[in-house]
Amino acid sequence: MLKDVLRIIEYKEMLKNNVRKELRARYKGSILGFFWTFLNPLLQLVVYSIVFSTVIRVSVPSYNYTLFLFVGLVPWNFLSASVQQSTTVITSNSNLIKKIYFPRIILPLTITMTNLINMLLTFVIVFIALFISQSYVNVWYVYLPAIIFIETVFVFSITLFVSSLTVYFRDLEHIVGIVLMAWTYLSPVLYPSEYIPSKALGIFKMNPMFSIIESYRDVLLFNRQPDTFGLLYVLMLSFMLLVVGYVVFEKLQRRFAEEI
Amino acid sequence: MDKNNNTRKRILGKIILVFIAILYLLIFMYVTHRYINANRYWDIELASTNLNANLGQVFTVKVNLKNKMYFPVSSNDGYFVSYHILTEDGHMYTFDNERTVFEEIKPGLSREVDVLIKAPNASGKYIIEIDIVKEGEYWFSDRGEKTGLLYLTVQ
Repeated sequence: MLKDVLRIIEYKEMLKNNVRKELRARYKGSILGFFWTFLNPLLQLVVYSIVFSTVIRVSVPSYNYTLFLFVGLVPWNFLSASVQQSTTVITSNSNLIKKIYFPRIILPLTITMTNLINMLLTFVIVFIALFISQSYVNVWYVYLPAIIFIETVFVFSITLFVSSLTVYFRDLEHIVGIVLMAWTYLSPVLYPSEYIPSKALGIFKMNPMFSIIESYRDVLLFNRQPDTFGLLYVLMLSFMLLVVGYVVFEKLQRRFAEEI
Repeated sequence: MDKNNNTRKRILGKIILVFIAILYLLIFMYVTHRYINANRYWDIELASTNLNANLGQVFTVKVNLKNKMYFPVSSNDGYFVSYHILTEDGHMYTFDNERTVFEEIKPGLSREVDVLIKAPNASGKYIIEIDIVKEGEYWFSDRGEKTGLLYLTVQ
């Protein structure tokens, strides 16, 4: 495994080029181009904000709901976009896979890194919105790199499973869409975790995105220390998923060329 | 000889790997337990958990309250510290008791509060459950929160 990690480092130029190409190609030909990186989550925010604050009337005592939603939506989109895109990452690169040798793991890693950069860029807008609403940098911001790292490890581990399994089981591409929709509502993205009944809270907390989204909000919005045990739980779980995901990917990648 | 050494090294490597995996799982289980069972709104910690009192004596107990909600709370918002008295075998003796007011506690921060307690008028051993009440609405223990426990001997 260590040998393979070193191999990825050898191919870091390819990874960089892939990420650059992905970021450029995504909005190629569109008039607003790269600005869609910011516009997409903002438009999504407008829709959710109108529906959930005006129609369904979700309220967050002492805080602006739109800002509350924005802080949760950005990390959620990182996971959602990465998982969704990873379903086709192998099949859409079939030419590359058939023609040249490179560590196949670069492909799901490209998806994760591209969406990570997208999230970091969108966070610029989040910071501006926080500044306007007079929520300034606090001491708990030291947790932010750790939270981003933990989420990245978790997202990458999931993309490993999804990208390799979809090659053999194409229905997964459609199943993933449904699972992601359910996962959105089962994570405290659109509502505060206080809405979850006490009896079900333990089950909800097992969802790694629960702790990740809560931690982002604790640091950026509520100016308080995130739940350390929650973050530790996600980190340890993510490492386990990463190891299993890597083993599964390595086993399945041997027959990628034949299957696609 | 070399072959034997290599086999021995490989077995030792596997044993170490299994040991690390078991240790990792144990730590993971502990972390999960702490995380899943943590209180959602408050952490209630008592300075002392065993006390003696006279019949009907009124005394105070130092309680450290940590506000785990994302907004500041105080007694001005209708939150009070109170307690339930249980008999030694866990049966409810009195549910609704005196209230103690406290000043604002900001999100994620703690405050030490002197909680007023009146000992029962019958001698015996009791369990005092320190709880938070949102006056007129609910007790936090009814929402699944763990209470602070004080073992009281009344003579």
